[in-house]
Amino acid sequence: MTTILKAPAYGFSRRSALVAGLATPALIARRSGAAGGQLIVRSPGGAPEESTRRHVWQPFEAETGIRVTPVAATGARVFAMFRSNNHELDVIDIGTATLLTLQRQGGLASIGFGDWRRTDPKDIPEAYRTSHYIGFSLYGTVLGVNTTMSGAEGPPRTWQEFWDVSKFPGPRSLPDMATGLAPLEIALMADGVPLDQIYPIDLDRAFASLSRIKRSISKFWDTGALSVQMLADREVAASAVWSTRIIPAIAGGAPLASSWEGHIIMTQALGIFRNAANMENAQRYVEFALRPDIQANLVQSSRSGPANQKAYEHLPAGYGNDVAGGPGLAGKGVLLNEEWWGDNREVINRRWARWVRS
Amino acid sequence: MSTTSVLVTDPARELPLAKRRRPRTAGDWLLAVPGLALLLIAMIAPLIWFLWDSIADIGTSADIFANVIETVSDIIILDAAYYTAATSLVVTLICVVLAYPMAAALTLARGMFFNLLIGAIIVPYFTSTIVRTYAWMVLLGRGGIINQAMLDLGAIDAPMQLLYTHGAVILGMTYVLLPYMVLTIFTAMKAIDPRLLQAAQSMGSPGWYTFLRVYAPLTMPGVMSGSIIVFILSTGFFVTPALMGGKDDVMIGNLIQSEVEINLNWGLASIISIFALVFILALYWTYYRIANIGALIDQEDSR
Amino acid sequence: MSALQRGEVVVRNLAKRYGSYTAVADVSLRAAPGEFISLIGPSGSGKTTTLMMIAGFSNPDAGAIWLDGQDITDLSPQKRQLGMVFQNYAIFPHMTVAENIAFPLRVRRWSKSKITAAVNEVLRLVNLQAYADRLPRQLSGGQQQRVALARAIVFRPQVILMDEPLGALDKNLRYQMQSEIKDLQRKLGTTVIYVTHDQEEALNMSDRLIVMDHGKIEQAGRPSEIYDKPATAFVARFLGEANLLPIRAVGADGDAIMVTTPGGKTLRVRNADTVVAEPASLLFVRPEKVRMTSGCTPAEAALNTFPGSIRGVSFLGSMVRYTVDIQEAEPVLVDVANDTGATLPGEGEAVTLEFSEAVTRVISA
Repeated sequence: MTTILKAPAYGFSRRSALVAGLATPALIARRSGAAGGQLIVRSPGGAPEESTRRHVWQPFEAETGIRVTPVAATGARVFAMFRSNNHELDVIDIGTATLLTLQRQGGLASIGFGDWRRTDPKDIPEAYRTSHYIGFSLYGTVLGVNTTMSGAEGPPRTWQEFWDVSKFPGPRSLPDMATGLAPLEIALMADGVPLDQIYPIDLDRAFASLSRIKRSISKFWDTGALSVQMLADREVAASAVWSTRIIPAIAGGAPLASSWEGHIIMTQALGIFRNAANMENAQRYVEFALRPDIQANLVQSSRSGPANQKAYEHLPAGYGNDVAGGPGLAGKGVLLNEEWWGDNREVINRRWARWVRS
Repeated sequence: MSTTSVLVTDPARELPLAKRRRPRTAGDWLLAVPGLALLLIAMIAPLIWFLWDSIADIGTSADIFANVIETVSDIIILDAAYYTAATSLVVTLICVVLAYPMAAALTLARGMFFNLLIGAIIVPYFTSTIVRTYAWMVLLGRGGIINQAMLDLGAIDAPMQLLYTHGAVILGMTYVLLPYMVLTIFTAMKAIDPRLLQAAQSMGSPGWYTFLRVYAPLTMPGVMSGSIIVFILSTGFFVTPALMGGKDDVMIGNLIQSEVEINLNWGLASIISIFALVFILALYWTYYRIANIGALIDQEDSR
Repeated sequence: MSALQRGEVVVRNLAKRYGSYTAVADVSLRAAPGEFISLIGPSGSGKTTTLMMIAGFSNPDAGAIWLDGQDITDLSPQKRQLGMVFQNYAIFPHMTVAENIAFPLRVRRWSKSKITAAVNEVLRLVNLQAYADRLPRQLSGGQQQRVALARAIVFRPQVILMDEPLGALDKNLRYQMQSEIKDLQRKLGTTVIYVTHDQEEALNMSDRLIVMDHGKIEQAGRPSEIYDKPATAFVARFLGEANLLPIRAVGADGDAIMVTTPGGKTLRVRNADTVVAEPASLLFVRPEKVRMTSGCTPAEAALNTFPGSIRGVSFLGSMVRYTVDIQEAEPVLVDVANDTGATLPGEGEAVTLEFSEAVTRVISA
């Protein structure tokens, strides 16, 4: 009995395991040395890993002979590698927010755009392209509804309608701050702020707007899987969900629908650890992943948008009308301002916690 | 010697059993060294590294001090601490109430029936917390089995909000933690000499009195150990409250997780962790003082 | 001692089976008020099962148990008003000595002052006054035994059942406790039914012995009676040492019978209370009752005597045990008191053994 009680209480053991787990990629790396060298990539895991393997890693290996080793890791674990000076990864395939934090702490190498041969950096809009990381696949936060739960007026199509619970009744959900972002842009749009005036976000106005819908929110969701599940299970009638989650669900036959009115564009990005062991391979990989033909193959399977606009030449006509960043949706959404969030996330986090509790 | 005594020996001449135990030697402690070393290297050292590294990151000692004060006086943290303590307490109490009769039934079960019972208790324990929690979500959802059945029976007109409530969090946590309590109490019950109960009976004690005066007090060490284990595990929960709770169900674990995973603010995460650790150690110390664990353990030994 | 003595236990045709195993088969016995009787037998003889049925912890398959004329067969243990002392004492580890002893009185809802008085009196009886507030784990084995005893007598039951209460104590302490328990029992006038597998303990303490084997009573009677006149070879062997020689009955001679051994010796045995039905029986004589004289008497024809030679000698302190070859199937054990100071015969010496007709018995094989 005493042994159990003397063991570290609380969840500390999880974190110890996390730190201890930093050693594993080294073992994998040593085992997989191949002729063309190797590359260790942080993988997002799950379905995205599968499509990335098929459409990026395998063709990359075939073309270059460089062996790609994926390592699943959370953002916190990537950060722990940086903090403990265990740069076991070369390329980090992750949400832009984590790369921004790493870059601000000096953890990233600059992208060698000058050495690119088969991809023209200018085909990638500057909004997705920075000196140290580059967005490669785009997805959106859209308005999702369960069509079987609509009232007489049908389902809400805009955030203003989403906020109008008397006309469009039914329980709602919105993303929790635990997803890394609070639904502040949405709240402003619901309050009538035009798309071009969203940033810098007026926090008071955004939270005041959120307070008006709060009573109708049964739960703020914190994982992408849960967000669509809640809609499908009729837990909520309407929610703000990721396009890459709801579009496949609709294709799978779920009685759901989505609206691109006032969507928010977010980016999955690539960065390279500053002390990456396979720097040259990493640079080659980044260029490869942004190549139009590769981009076109990758985005189709996940219904996301390509960062390289040339990719649309390899995609079916009309593809750009139904994906984040697509030309057909121009003017209907706003690109998430990662810099602004990076500056304000901590303040918003605290304010969010207080607001939820109030 | 008293004249009324018919006994001829002086009982004081005999050595008490408790004092006959072999005293512990240095060799005994040496046996613990490998285990302690492993514990130190694998568990304690990374923990200290994490806390030290992330707190040192905050800045000068004055900065750290200010940060600590700000954190522990933050209403959000205090709120979460209160919620964590209250929820853990309720979960622990419910676990005791449910586990006690279950453990008692387990002590009476034999053969195949025993295997079935112990299997029913342990198998969910091998399933991941997330899967078990999802199972409850299927049961409790607005379109879930319970609501559907109630609607079909005409007991309710509209689905009840069962999921995303305090109750759902307590239910989910109780379900996950119940096996710890059952097995701990079961062990204590199994250790009770059945002849003690026969002895009570032979002295004319009815069943309820034997339970109250003999059985229950002897199982108390098990109940206390189980409660400590369940309470401490409860305070570290964050998956179940995140999945089954509503907007207000924020535990300390959720705060730490969001600081580590979302904000990458490890300094703050460390401060909250230490705050929680101190809180739990204080609680454990209180328990130790009240229940005097040492004495209870001694008592187990001497039987 | 109360004028109207109670505490009579009568057991009739008790039986208990566990599956195909018969633990107790048809046991009947009676313990008179104030009597100390012991159930004795090897393990598996059914003595403890019998006791547990009397206590009520085991339900008999057949038979009845009566206490002072009342049928208690179907009464639950707590209603039988019997005191019970267990083999491992079964003292409540979480209660002090005084609390343990007060337990049966609390159950009976005695007043606080009455309980205190009764507990103090019993503590004095077992000489544990100084230990009232100790916890059991602070006591020695003997002290714990006293607590168990005190707890069993404090509510003044008419009958106390004891299940090998001294089994866990070392030999010296066991002997002391035997007399203490016996004295206490006499003083209180309580009926005691005592289970033990220790023959010396049973002989020492009991008014009457009940020897059991394979779930049946082999013989019941006063210790001396059972020792001197065992009914069966099993009883003869189980209590003390016994010489058992196979014999054949050849006729009667007045109130005695004539038997012959396979070795051709003829003996005359006074055995009036045993009817020798079967011709093949056993000749029984205790080692200390064989008379041994040095040298080989010429009177070979003398009745009840055997010429022999000493094969082994073991010195046991107060006596010497000889193993003597007499040209029969088995050698004979002879105990000689070490009290004369004279030189005792040694190994290889020729001796003559005499089985006097008064101490030699014929029992069924």
